[in-house]
Amino acid sequence: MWNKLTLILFFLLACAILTSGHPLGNFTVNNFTRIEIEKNRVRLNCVLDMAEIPTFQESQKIDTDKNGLLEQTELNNYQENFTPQFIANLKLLIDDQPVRIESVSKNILLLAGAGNLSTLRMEWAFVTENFSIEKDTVHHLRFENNNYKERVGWNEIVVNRADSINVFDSTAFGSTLTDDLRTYPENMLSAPLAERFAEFSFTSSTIPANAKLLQNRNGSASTPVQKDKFAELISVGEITPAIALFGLLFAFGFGAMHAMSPGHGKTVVGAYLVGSRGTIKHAVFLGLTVTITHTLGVFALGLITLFASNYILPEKLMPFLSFVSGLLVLFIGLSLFKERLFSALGWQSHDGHTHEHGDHLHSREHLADYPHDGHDNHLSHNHEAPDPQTHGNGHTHTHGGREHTHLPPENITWKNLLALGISGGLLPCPSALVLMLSAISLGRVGYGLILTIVFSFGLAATLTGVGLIFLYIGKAFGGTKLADNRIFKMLPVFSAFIIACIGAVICYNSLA
Amino acid sequence: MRKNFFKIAIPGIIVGIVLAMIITAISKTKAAPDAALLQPVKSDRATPTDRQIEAAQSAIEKYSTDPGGYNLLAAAFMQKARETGDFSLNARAEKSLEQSFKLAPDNYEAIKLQATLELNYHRFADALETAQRAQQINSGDHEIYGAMVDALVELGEYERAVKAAQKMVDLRPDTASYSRISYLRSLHGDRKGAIDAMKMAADAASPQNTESMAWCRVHLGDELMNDGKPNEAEHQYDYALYLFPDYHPALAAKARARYAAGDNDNAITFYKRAIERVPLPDYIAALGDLYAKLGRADEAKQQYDQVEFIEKMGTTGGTYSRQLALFWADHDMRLDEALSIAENELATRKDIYASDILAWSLYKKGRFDEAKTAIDEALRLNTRDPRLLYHAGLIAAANGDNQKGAEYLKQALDINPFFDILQAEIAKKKLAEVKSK
Repeated sequence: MWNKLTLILFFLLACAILTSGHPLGNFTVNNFTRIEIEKNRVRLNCVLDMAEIPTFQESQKIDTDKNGLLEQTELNNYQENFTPQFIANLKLLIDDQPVRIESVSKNILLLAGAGNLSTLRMEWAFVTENFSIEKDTVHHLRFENNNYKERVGWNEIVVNRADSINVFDSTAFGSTLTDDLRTYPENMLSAPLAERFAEFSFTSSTIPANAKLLQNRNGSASTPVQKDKFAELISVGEITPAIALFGLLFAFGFGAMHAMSPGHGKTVVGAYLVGSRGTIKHAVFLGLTVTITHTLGVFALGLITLFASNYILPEKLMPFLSFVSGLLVLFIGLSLFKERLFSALGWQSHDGHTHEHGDHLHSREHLADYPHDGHDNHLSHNHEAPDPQTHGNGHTHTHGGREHTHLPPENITWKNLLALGISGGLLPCPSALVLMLSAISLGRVGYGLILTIVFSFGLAATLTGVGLIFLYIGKAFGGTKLADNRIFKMLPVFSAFIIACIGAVICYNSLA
Repeated sequence: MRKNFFKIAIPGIIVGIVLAMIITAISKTKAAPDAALLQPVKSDRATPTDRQIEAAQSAIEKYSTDPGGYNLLAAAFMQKARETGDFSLNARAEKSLEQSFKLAPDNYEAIKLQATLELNYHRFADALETAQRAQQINSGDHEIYGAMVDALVELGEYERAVKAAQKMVDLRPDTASYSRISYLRSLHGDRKGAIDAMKMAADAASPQNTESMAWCRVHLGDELMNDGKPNEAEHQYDYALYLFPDYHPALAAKARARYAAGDNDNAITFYKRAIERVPLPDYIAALGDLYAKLGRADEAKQQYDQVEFIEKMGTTGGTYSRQLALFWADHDMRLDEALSIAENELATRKDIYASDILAWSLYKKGRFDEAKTAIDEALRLNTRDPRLLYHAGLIAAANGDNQKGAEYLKQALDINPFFDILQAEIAKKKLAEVKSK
């Protein structure tokens, strides 16, 4: 039953990945600009999205060696040559003074359009020179995008701001309707956006009375953007040993911090380890698995983006990966829940399992001893515990003649740990992906690789750390005489249930 | 103390985490994009049609049960499609009309707009039927006769078309009726009458609708061009561009005028500008021909490749198949496909241009007898179209009638020696050849 269901879900996902298209005619050229007011400069993120016909027209110019194929070098050259003209058609005035901008990054790619034909997407990031936005001064910005102004298409301008900046009285909104020209609204009764011009004021102080703060398209207030500092690590001017060292430290820190953000299965890790009386070794193994999976995931997705972008959009792959990792967690949770529940109820449903996983028993016994070796160093250990029996979490004893164990013997299997680790690392962090891609486009693959690995280590360190914290809390808890308590007995069952819940939530999130 | 703390704390923490995750999951669910407000930025660039779209949308918002807003929106989208050449806007008009019919199944305005939409989709028989249905509801409305005349002309029912046009102009002599009178006169070989009527149409055009004014000027220019007055023609094209800057039919017409004046560089520039706005196969093929004539074979081939690519995309919803057949026959490409398009066209429409395409493809296939029957059919109204006469001349010569052939070819070149970039050259050569025989 599950197999069928997953097959259907995979099919639906595949369909979702394959459909894309321009809502207007296939001769449109669509423009998008995101104006970001940073602390000391203005950044313009521009996108030019060409539908099938203009792409075909341009491809005649792109294909300089006339072999009928558009190689990445040809595409890059095309964008390189096109960029000055593109910049010339952008007008940026701050306080009525024209402002010079320069390109800091570029990207060009072919995407699959209607009928297996390609569409062309070009992206740029431009920045102004640094300037200071002083207190109690109000600046006025005007922007106009005249690229392909003759051609029909969507034209969208969005304004974002850094934390310390207020934007007000803006003709543009703070949110995008087209997801930066990735999806076009299907409402046939609305006209395509025609935003080629924007003006607004900004200040680092409070806004004047009666001024209207920057709004999103749905009328809500626009929130400041968080910069992707990690991805910026790669685009430094020159890499000196000091900068490299600094970069590595930062990468580790970013990885560690990133793991704190929701969606990395910290709770899963914790719940699993607590429920199964894992050890430090388990936690470390879990951490390593996460590191390796995450690093490989970033590389794989990076490669897909580079070579297969004609067929699949990496952004479309993200929900899919997230779904798979959710599914993995859900299955682990369900199977653990079943086994633990039976075990807690005293049903020997796992008889077969002990044979099946016979080879695991050895390592489990070994691991079960592990806490003894180092427990003197553990802060939360209760030295006054009168009953030495509680030290051996894995051993058996008798109550009223019937031999049993309090702890479900099947819990910790390397297989489950591995699956859990993979699910934690499967979904590459977007920052790491952007970093890897910028590294490739800047020809700094080696450095990008190292940064990614270090980032993954940081990620794993946090996950392992969280696991250990849970472990010690659990141990302190287990160190008391509560072992026979009914709630305590049900705890592994409950934690398995939570794992399943989280898996379901991840799946749900990825589909939403 | 400690026991109790853990007893409560650990399950408490775990339950809390799960709750937090569920809440995040729910709060992350995005609102549908349609719910977003679609307030376009007010800008000087907005054309009257853009404002009409806005007005229609706010009417829909305010009076959601009234079909009027949807009708206005449909009309505005179709007008926008005419102005920009973006054929896909017709699909938006269609959706608006669907909504209108949902609110009021038999509302007259929507039926009238439906007829226009069907004309845009080249569903002429449907358009005629719809127009007749509308006429039964309101026979005093001259506008519905416009759709009827157009459908009848495209279906080749010229006598009925003339009657409907007469009725239309009697009901109300305005741009819509004069321009149709002009076209019918032109089809019947009355050039002077056509020019007079189009001048009246242009003068009567509402200044509110600059696209309509520009359209009249372009067509007046075309008639003047075929009347041996290239300078006056170009003046009309310039006027059109002044009224409606970057109007794509006017840009292409201006390119033709520049070519006629021997100014190839500017002809290329204007074709490119027209294509920049909307890459219609006609414009691209003409640019390709110009490159070919100038010996720039590579660039010519690029344009021809684009013509085929665009047709393959189905951008124009199949409404360009006739032009494509002509393009193929002109360039001796895919003659079988050209012929089959021509046969299909004639099966549903009996107009003179369907007969002309058939005659031209048959001629290219070497079936001269059948070509003669078809071209005679195409000339049944005595139309003074240089392209028709050129085809007739080549077909007559191929059938051994050199005298008739020379006569047709001379007529074609007298009317407009620049009627086509490459074909006019062939006409000149052929004329010299048959004369010497």
